Amino acid sequence: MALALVGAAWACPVCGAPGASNEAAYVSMTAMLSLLPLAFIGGVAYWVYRTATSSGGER
Amino acid sequence: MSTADSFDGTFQVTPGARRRERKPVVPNEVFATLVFIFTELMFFGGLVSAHTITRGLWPMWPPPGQPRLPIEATAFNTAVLVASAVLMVVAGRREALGQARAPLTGAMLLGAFFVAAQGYEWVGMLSQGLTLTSSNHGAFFYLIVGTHAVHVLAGLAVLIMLRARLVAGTLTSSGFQAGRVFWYFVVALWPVLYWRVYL
Repeated sequence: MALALVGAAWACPVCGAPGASNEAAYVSMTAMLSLLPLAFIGGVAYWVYRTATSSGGER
Repeated sequence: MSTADSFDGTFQVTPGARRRERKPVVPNEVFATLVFIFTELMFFGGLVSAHTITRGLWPMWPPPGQPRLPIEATAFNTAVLVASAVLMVVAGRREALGQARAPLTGAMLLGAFFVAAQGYEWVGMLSQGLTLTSSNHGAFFYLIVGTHAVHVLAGLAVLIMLRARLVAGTLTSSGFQAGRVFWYFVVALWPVLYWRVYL
């Protein structure tokens, strides 16, 4: 219910966006900036894990 | 305390006991480069985000009356930069560091060509009236592309340093790997910027 009322209450960051394309850009860039650090850190952590396990197997 | 770690990644168990060397999973140089790349990635993410949201304000982009960017010439330039990364992969796969000299030099020259071609492109855009203060289009173009160009120049400086050390015989495997990682980042970033800024 709270999610449904966001638009009516003008409680979202893109409620005042002048157009649908600007609103979509705002939402997609918010998602991108939120996921980018997680993806990078996750990727590096996975790479380190793979390197550690493969080098451990060689010993 | 029975153990003592040292900064070079080795540790010694009680005096007189056997000494064992601990090799880091990721070399320190590479890890430091990855941390630096992480900050750079977020920096460019912010620039692309600002550009995308501003672009969404306009029904068409570039805005009416603004010069068009040279899409085809820059596509060729993008291919040149990607080719330089391929040469770096070849250099990294050479078993002996001495054998990496030719592909490293090739990557360096292709990177230099990319920067020179972008400089030529900028001269053309300036002559058409696109400046940093002429419009949002110009401001974002010079800011994003210019910031990337600075990174390519920094990457070229790294490649020149790597080559000099290679010739002198002082290049370490981990140092070479760190330099390659930075160059891969600079190259991998460009197609994304090309897609967002030019297309």
